[in-house]
Amino acid sequence: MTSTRKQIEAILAGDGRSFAALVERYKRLVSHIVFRMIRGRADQEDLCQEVFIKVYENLGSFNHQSKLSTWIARITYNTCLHFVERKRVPLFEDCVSDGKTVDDCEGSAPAPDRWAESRQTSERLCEEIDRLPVHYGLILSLFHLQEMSYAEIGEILGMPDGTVKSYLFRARKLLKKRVVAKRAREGLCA
Amino acid sequence: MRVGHVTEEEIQAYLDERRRSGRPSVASLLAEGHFDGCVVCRETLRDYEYLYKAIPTIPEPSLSPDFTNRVASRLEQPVQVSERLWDSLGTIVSPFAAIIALLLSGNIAPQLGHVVLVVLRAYFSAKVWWSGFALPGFSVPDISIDLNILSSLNAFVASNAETGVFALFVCVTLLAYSTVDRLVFRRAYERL
Repeated sequence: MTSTRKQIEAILAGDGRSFAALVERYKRLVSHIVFRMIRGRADQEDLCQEVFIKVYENLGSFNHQSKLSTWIARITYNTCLHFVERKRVPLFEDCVSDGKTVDDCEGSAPAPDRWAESRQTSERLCEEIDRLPVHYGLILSLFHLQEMSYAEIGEILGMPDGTVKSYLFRARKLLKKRVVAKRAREGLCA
Repeated sequence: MRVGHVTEEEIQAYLDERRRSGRPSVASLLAEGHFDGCVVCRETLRDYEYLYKAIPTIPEPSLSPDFTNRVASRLEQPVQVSERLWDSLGTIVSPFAAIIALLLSGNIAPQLGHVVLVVLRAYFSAKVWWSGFALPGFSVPDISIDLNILSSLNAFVASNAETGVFALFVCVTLLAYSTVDRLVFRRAYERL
Protein backbone atom coordinates (compact mmCIF):
# COMPACT_ATOMS: atom_id res chain seq x y z
CA MET A 1 0.00 0.00 0.00
CA THR A 2 1.40 3.41 -0.96
CA SER A 3 2.13 6.06 1.63
CA THR A 4 -0.61 8.27 0.15
CA ARG A 5 -3.16 5.50 0.57
CA LYS A 6 -2.02 4.93 4.13
CA GLN A 7 -2.24 8.62 4.88
CA ILE A 8 -5.74 8.85 3.44
CA GLU A 9 -6.90 5.83 5.41
CA ALA A 10 -5.47 7.32 8.58
CA ILE A 11 -7.29 10.60 7.94
CA LEU A 12 -10.53 8.79 7.24
CA ALA A 13 -10.05 6.91 10.48
CA GLY A 14 -9.91 10.26 12.26
CA ASP A 15 -6.17 10.78 12.65
CA GLY A 16 -5.78 14.54 12.96
CA ARG A 17 -2.00 14.44 12.68
CA SER A 18 -2.16 12.78 9.27
CA PHE A 19 -4.51 15.47 8.07
CA ALA A 20 -2.20 18.18 9.42
CA ALA A 21 0.64 16.53 7.50
CA LEU A 22 -1.47 16.56 4.35
CA VAL A 23 -2.20 20.28 4.82
CA GLU A 24 1.50 20.98 5.32
CA ARG A 25 2.40 19.01 2.23
CA TYR A 26 -0.12 20.56 -0.14
CA LYS A 27 -0.57 24.10 1.17
CA ARG A 28 2.08 25.40 -1.23
CA LEU A 29 0.22 23.94 -4.21
CA VAL A 30 -3.14 25.24 -2.98
CA SER A 31 -1.79 28.69 -2.24
CA HIS A 32 -0.13 28.93 -5.66
CA ILE A 33 -3.45 28.38 -7.37
CA VAL A 34 -5.50 30.55 -5.02
CA PHE A 35 -3.05 33.46 -5.05
CA ARG A 36 -2.90 33.38 -8.85
CA MET A 37 -6.66 33.45 -9.25
CA ILE A 38 -7.91 35.59 -6.39
CA ARG A 39 -6.89 39.05 -5.28
CA GLY A 40 -7.28 40.14 -1.66
CA ARG A 41 -5.27 38.76 1.22
CA ALA A 42 -8.20 37.84 3.47
CA ASP A 43 -10.08 36.05 0.70
CA GLN A 44 -6.95 34.16 -0.33
CA GLU A 45 -6.33 32.77 3.14
CA ASP A 46 -10.01 31.94 3.66
CA LEU A 47 -10.18 30.13 0.34
CA CYS A 48 -7.08 28.09 1.11
CA GLN A 49 -8.73 26.99 4.34
CA GLU A 50 -11.99 26.26 2.53
CA VAL A 51 -10.13 24.06 0.04
CA PHE A 52 -8.68 21.90 2.81
CA ILE A 53 -12.08 21.62 4.49
CA LYS A 54 -13.47 20.37 1.17
CA VAL A 55 -10.55 17.99 0.78
CA TYR A 56 -11.27 16.63 4.24
CA GLU A 57 -14.99 16.26 3.61
CA ASN A 58 -14.52 14.57 0.23
CA LEU A 59 -11.43 12.48 0.85
CA GLY A 60 -13.57 9.37 1.12
CA SER A 61 -14.60 9.79 -2.51
CA PHE A 62 -11.02 10.08 -3.82
CA ASN A 63 -10.65 7.08 -6.14
CA HIS A 64 -6.85 7.08 -6.63
CA GLN A 65 -7.26 7.27 -10.40
CA SER A 66 -5.30 10.51 -10.45
CA LYS A 67 -2.54 11.81 -8.22
CA LEU A 68 -3.71 13.27 -4.93
CA SER A 69 -2.00 16.54 -5.82
CA THR A 70 -3.97 16.76 -9.07
CA TRP A 71 -7.22 16.03 -7.23
CA ILE A 72 -6.50 18.68 -4.60
CA ALA A 73 -5.46 21.18 -7.27
CA ARG A 74 -8.71 20.55 -9.13
CA ILE A 75 -10.73 21.16 -5.97
CA THR A 76 -8.76 24.37 -5.47
CA TYR A 77 -9.37 25.55 -9.02
CA ASN A 78 -13.10 24.82 -8.81
CA THR A 79 -13.36 26.50 -5.42
CA CYS A 80 -11.75 29.63 -6.84
CA LEU A 81 -14.03 29.59 -9.88
CA HIS A 82 -17.06 29.23 -7.64
CA PHE A 83 -15.82 32.10 -5.47
CA VAL A 84 -15.30 34.34 -8.51
CA GLU A 85 -18.77 33.50 -9.76
CA ARG A 86 -20.33 34.13 -6.35
CA LYS A 87 -18.56 37.41 -5.69
CA ARG A 88 -18.67 38.50 -9.34
CA VAL A 89 -15.06 39.61 -9.26
CA PRO A 90 -13.07 39.83 -12.50
CA LEU A 91 -10.58 37.11 -13.28
CA PHE A 92 -8.37 39.26 -15.43
CA GLU A 93 -6.25 42.24 -14.50
CA ASP A 94 -4.50 42.97 -17.70
CA CYS A 95 -4.29 46.76 -17.65
CA VAL A 96 -1.80 49.12 -16.12
CA SER A 97 -2.96 52.20 -14.26
CA ASP A 98 -2.84 54.63 -17.18
CA GLY A 99 -5.22 52.51 -19.16
CA LYS A 100 -2.62 51.08 -21.54
CA THR A 101 -1.57 47.49 -21.46
CA VAL A 102 2.05 46.71 -20.87
CA ASP A 103 2.04 45.16 -24.33
CA ASP A 104 1.75 48.68 -25.72
CA CYS A 105 5.21 49.44 -24.49
CA GLU A 106 7.65 48.34 -27.15
CA GLY A 107 11.32 48.67 -26.49
CA SER A 108 14.74 47.88 -27.79
CA ALA A 109 18.36 47.89 -26.72
CA PRO A 110 17.94 46.47 -23.24
CA ALA A 111 20.59 47.38 -20.73
CA PRO A 112 22.52 44.14 -20.29
CA ASP A 113 21.03 42.30 -17.34
CA ARG A 114 20.47 45.56 -15.50
CA TRP A 115 16.91 44.59 -14.72
CA ALA A 116 17.94 41.07 -13.87
CA GLU A 117 20.50 42.23 -11.38
CA SER A 118 18.06 44.35 -9.45
CA ARG A 119 17.49 43.44 -5.84
CA GLN A 120 13.77 43.23 -6.42
CA THR A 121 13.89 41.23 -9.61
CA SER A 122 11.84 38.35 -8.36
CA GLU A 123 9.19 40.62 -6.82
CA ARG A 124 8.93 42.54 -10.05
CA LEU A 125 8.70 39.40 -12.12
CA CYS A 126 5.97 38.23 -9.78
CA GLU A 127 4.10 41.47 -10.43
CA GLU A 128 4.40 40.88 -14.15
CA ILE A 129 3.05 37.36 -13.78
CA ASP A 130 0.17 38.79 -11.75
CA ARG A 131 -0.64 41.02 -14.69
CA LEU A 132 -0.89 38.15 -17.12
CA PRO A 133 -4.33 36.76 -17.92
CA VAL A 134 -5.18 34.53 -15.01
CA HIS A 135 -4.97 31.21 -16.84
CA TYR A 136 -1.58 32.13 -18.27
CA GLY A 137 -0.21 32.91 -14.80
CA LEU A 138 -1.78 29.80 -13.38
CA ILE A 139 -0.37 27.47 -16.02
CA LEU A 140 3.02 29.13 -15.68
CA SER A 141 2.98 28.53 -11.92
CA LEU A 142 1.86 24.93 -12.20
CA PHE A 143 4.44 24.13 -14.85
CA HIS A 144 7.47 26.01 -13.53
CA LEU A 145 6.86 26.05 -9.77
CA GLN A 146 4.93 22.84 -9.24
CA GLU A 147 6.68 21.03 -12.08
CA MET A 148 3.47 19.53 -13.35
CA SER A 149 3.09 17.99 -16.80
CA TYR A 150 0.76 19.27 -19.53
CA ALA A 151 -1.54 16.32 -18.84
CA GLU A 152 -1.77 17.07 -15.11
CA ILE A 153 -2.42 20.75 -15.71
CA GLY A 154 -5.01 19.84 -18.32
CA GLU A 155 -6.77 17.57 -15.84
CA ILE A 156 -6.87 20.32 -13.23
CA LEU A 157 -8.16 23.03 -15.55
CA GLY A 158 -10.34 20.76 -17.67
CA MET A 159 -8.41 21.62 -20.84
CA PRO A 160 -6.82 19.46 -23.55
CA ASP A 161 -3.02 19.11 -23.31
CA GLY A 162 -2.63 21.04 -26.56
CA THR A 163 -4.44 24.04 -25.11
CA VAL A 164 -2.27 23.97 -22.00
CA LYS A 165 0.84 23.87 -24.16
CA SER A 166 -0.39 26.72 -26.30
CA TYR A 167 -1.33 28.86 -23.25
CA LEU A 168 2.04 28.18 -21.68
CA PHE A 169 3.84 29.23 -24.85
CA ARG A 170 1.79 32.44 -25.09
CA ALA A 171 2.28 33.17 -21.39
CA ARG A 172 6.04 32.92 -21.61
CA LYS A 173 6.13 34.89 -24.85
CA LEU A 174 4.03 37.68 -23.33
CA LEU A 175 6.03 37.68 -20.12
CA LYS A 176 9.30 37.85 -22.03
CA LYS A 177 7.98 40.71 -24.13
CA ARG A 178 6.93 42.63 -21.05
CA VAL A 179 10.14 42.00 -19.19
CA VAL A 180 12.22 43.08 -22.19
CA ALA A 181 10.03 46.18 -22.62
CA LYS A 182 10.38 47.07 -18.97
CA ARG A 183 14.10 46.57 -19.09
CA ALA A 184 14.29 48.82 -22.14
CA ARG A 185 12.17 51.52 -20.46
CA GLU A 186 14.38 51.49 -17.41
CA GLY A 187 17.46 51.51 -19.61
CA LEU A 188 16.17 54.64 -21.34
CA CYS A 189 15.17 56.32 -18.07
CA ALA A 190 18.53 55.66 -16.42
CA MET B 1 22.78 24.12 -40.03
CA ARG B 2 19.23 25.41 -40.42
CA VAL B 3 18.16 28.24 -42.70
CA GLY B 4 16.17 31.13 -41.16
CA HIS B 5 15.70 32.06 -37.52
CA VAL B 6 14.59 29.68 -34.80
CA THR B 7 11.00 30.47 -33.78
CA GLU B 8 10.15 31.42 -30.21
CA GLU B 9 8.12 28.24 -29.93
CA GLU B 10 11.18 26.20 -30.86
CA ILE B 11 13.31 28.12 -28.38
CA GLN B 12 10.84 27.38 -25.61
CA ALA B 13 10.68 23.72 -26.62
CA TYR B 14 14.49 23.63 -26.61
CA LEU B 15 14.65 25.10 -23.10
CA ASP B 16 11.86 22.80 -21.83
CA GLU B 17 13.86 19.88 -23.11
CA ARG B 18 17.01 21.17 -21.41
CA ARG B 19 15.03 21.74 -18.20
CA ARG B 20 13.87 18.14 -18.18
CA SER B 21 17.50 17.10 -18.79
CA GLY B 22 16.33 14.65 -21.39
CA ARG B 23 18.17 13.55 -24.50
CA PRO B 24 18.28 16.49 -26.93
CA SER B 25 16.18 15.97 -30.03
CA VAL B 26 17.47 16.50 -33.55
CA ALA B 27 15.55 19.78 -33.68
CA SER B 28 17.28 20.94 -30.50
CA LEU B 29 20.69 20.05 -31.83
CA LEU B 30 19.96 21.93 -35.04
CA ALA B 31 18.77 24.93 -33.02
CA GLU B 32 21.88 24.74 -30.86
CA GLY B 33 24.04 24.91 -33.96
CA HIS B 34 22.06 27.90 -35.19
CA PHE B 35 22.43 29.83 -31.92
CA ASP B 36 26.22 29.75 -32.31
CA GLY B 37 26.10 31.71 -35.49
CA CYS B 38 22.98 33.91 -35.15
CA VAL B 39 23.04 37.01 -32.93
CA VAL B 40 19.26 37.59 -33.14
CA CYS B 41 18.33 34.09 -32.03
CA ARG B 42 21.04 34.06 -29.38
CA GLU B 43 19.57 37.26 -27.91
CA THR B 44 16.07 35.76 -27.83
CA LEU B 45 17.46 32.60 -26.28
CA ARG B 46 19.21 34.68 -23.63
CA ASP B 47 15.95 36.47 -22.74
CA TYR B 48 14.15 33.16 -22.36
CA GLU B 49 17.01 31.64 -20.40
CA TYR B 50 16.75 34.52 -17.98
CA LEU B 51 13.00 33.99 -17.69
CA TYR B 52 13.32 30.26 -17.07
CA LYS B 53 15.89 30.94 -14.36
CA ALA B 54 13.94 33.77 -12.76
CA ILE B 55 10.45 32.26 -12.60
CA PRO B 56 11.30 29.71 -9.88
CA THR B 57 12.75 32.52 -7.75
CA ILE B 58 9.54 34.56 -7.48
CA PRO B 59 8.34 34.94 -3.88
CA GLU B 60 6.21 32.11 -2.54
CA PRO B 61 2.66 33.02 -1.51
CA SER B 62 2.70 33.39 2.24
CA LEU B 63 -0.02 31.92 4.40
CA SER B 64 -0.28 32.75 8.08
CA PRO B 65 2.21 30.77 10.20
CA ASP B 66 -0.59 28.97 12.04
CA PHE B 67 -2.47 28.10 8.84
CA THR B 68 -2.59 24.36 9.55
CA ASN B 69 -3.94 24.96 13.06
CA ARG B 70 -6.59 27.27 11.69
CA VAL B 71 -7.77 24.62 9.26
CA ALA B 72 -7.81 22.08 12.09
CA SER B 73 -9.82 24.39 14.33
CA ARG B 74 -12.33 24.99 11.54
CA LEU B 75 -12.75 21.25 11.23
CA GLU B 76 -13.44 20.97 14.92
CA GLN B 77 -16.38 23.33 14.52
CA PRO B 78 -19.70 21.68 13.79
CA VAL B 79 -19.79 20.57 10.20
CA GLN B 80 -22.70 21.29 7.92
CA VAL B 81 -23.74 17.67 7.34
CA SER B 82 -26.81 17.84 9.48
CA GLU B 83 -27.85 21.18 8.05
CA ARG B 84 -27.52 19.87 4.51
CA LEU B 85 -29.75 16.96 5.41
CA TRP B 86 -32.39 19.28 6.78
CA ASP B 87 -32.04 21.60 3.84
CA SER B 88 -32.53 18.86 1.31
CA LEU B 89 -35.55 17.60 3.18
CA GLY B 90 -36.97 21.03 3.82
CA THR B 91 -36.44 22.61 0.44
CA ILE B 92 -36.73 19.75 -1.98
CA VAL B 93 -38.57 16.80 -0.51
CA SER B 94 -41.23 18.47 1.60
CA PRO B 95 -42.77 20.69 -1.10
CA PHE B 96 -43.13 17.65 -3.35
CA ALA B 97 -44.57 15.69 -0.47
CA ALA B 98 -47.05 18.49 0.10
CA ILE B 99 -48.09 18.49 -3.57
CA ILE B 100 -48.60 14.72 -3.44
CA ALA B 101 -50.59 15.21 -0.25
CA LEU B 102 -52.74 17.82 -1.96
CA LEU B 103 -53.44 15.55 -4.92
CA LEU B 104 -54.18 12.52 -2.76
CA SER B 105 -56.33 14.36 -0.30
CA GLY B 106 -58.69 15.61 -3.02
CA ASN B 107 -60.66 12.80 -4.57
CA ILE B 108 -58.12 10.06 -4.95
CA ALA B 109 -57.21 8.92 -1.47
CA PRO B 110 -58.02 11.29 1.39
CA GLN B 111 -56.62 8.87 3.95
CA LEU B 112 -53.25 8.64 2.25
CA GLY B 113 -53.12 12.39 1.89
CA HIS B 114 -53.69 12.67 5.57
CA VAL B 115 -50.83 10.26 6.24
CA VAL B 116 -48.44 12.34 4.12
CA LEU B 117 -49.45 15.44 6.04
CA VAL B 118 -48.83 13.66 9.32
CA VAL B 119 -45.36 12.73 8.04
CA LEU B 120 -44.67 16.35 7.19
CA ARG B 121 -45.75 17.39 10.62
CA ALA B 122 -43.49 14.74 12.08
CA TYR B 123 -40.60 16.09 10.00
CA PHE B 124 -40.95 19.59 11.38
CA SER B 125 -41.44 18.26 14.90
CA ALA B 126 -38.29 16.17 14.56
CA LYS B 127 -36.30 19.11 13.23
CA VAL B 128 -37.40 21.30 16.12
CA TRP B 129 -36.75 18.49 18.57
CA TRP B 130 -33.30 17.80 17.05
CA SER B 131 -32.30 21.43 17.42
CA GLY B 132 -32.40 20.96 21.16
CA PHE B 133 -29.32 18.77 20.96
CA ALA B 134 -25.82 19.83 20.08
CA LEU B 135 -24.28 16.50 19.16
CA PRO B 136 -20.56 16.44 18.37
CA GLY B 137 -19.99 16.85 14.64
CA PHE B 138 -23.48 18.13 13.94
CA SER B 139 -24.63 21.69 13.74
CA VAL B 140 -27.89 22.93 15.16
CA PRO B 141 -30.26 23.77 12.31
CA ASP B 142 -31.91 27.16 12.20
CA ILE B 143 -35.49 26.42 13.18
CA SER B 144 -37.08 29.86 13.34
CA ILE B 145 -39.15 29.33 10.19
CA ASP B 146 -39.82 25.67 10.93
CA LEU B 147 -41.16 26.53 14.35
CA ASN B 148 -43.71 28.86 12.79
CA ILE B 149 -44.74 26.24 10.25
CA LEU B 150 -45.07 23.62 12.95
CA SER B 151 -47.20 25.90 15.11
CA SER B 152 -49.50 26.56 12.15
CA LEU B 153 -49.71 22.85 11.36
CA ASN B 154 -50.64 22.09 14.95
CA ALA B 155 -53.24 24.83 14.93
CA PHE B 156 -54.81 23.39 11.77
CA VAL B 157 -54.87 19.92 13.21
CA ALA B 158 -56.50 21.24 16.36
CA SER B 159 -59.15 23.10 14.34
CA ASN B 160 -60.21 19.86 12.54
CA ALA B 161 -60.23 21.58 9.18
CA GLU B 162 -60.88 19.50 6.08
CA THR B 163 -57.89 17.54 4.86
CA GLY B 164 -58.01 19.20 1.43
CA VAL B 165 -57.87 22.70 2.88
CA PHE B 166 -55.24 21.55 5.28
CA ALA B 167 -53.11 20.09 2.45
CA LEU B 168 -53.51 23.21 0.35
CA PHE B 169 -52.32 25.30 3.23
CA VAL B 170 -49.27 23.07 3.80
CA CYS B 171 -48.43 22.96 0.12
CA VAL B 172 -48.52 26.74 -0.30
CA THR B 173 -46.64 27.33 2.94
CA LEU B 174 -43.88 24.88 2.18
CA LEU B 175 -43.41 26.06 -1.36
CA ALA B 176 -43.21 29.63 -0.13
CA TYR B 177 -40.84 28.58 2.60
CA SER B 178 -38.49 26.72 0.30
CA THR B 179 -38.56 29.47 -2.33
CA VAL B 180 -37.84 32.21 0.16
CA ASP B 181 -35.19 30.11 1.85
CA ARG B 182 -33.48 29.25 -1.42
CA LEU B 183 -33.75 32.54 -3.25
CA VAL B 184 -33.53 35.09 -0.47
CA PHE B 185 -31.94 33.84 2.72
CA ARG B 186 -29.32 31.58 1.16
CA ARG B 187 -28.24 34.19 -1.39
CA ALA B 188 -28.08 36.81 1.33
CA TYR B 189 -25.98 34.44 3.37
CA GLU B 190 -23.61 33.78 0.46
CA ARG B 191 -23.11 37.49 -0.04
CA LEU B 192 -21.88 37.89 3.53
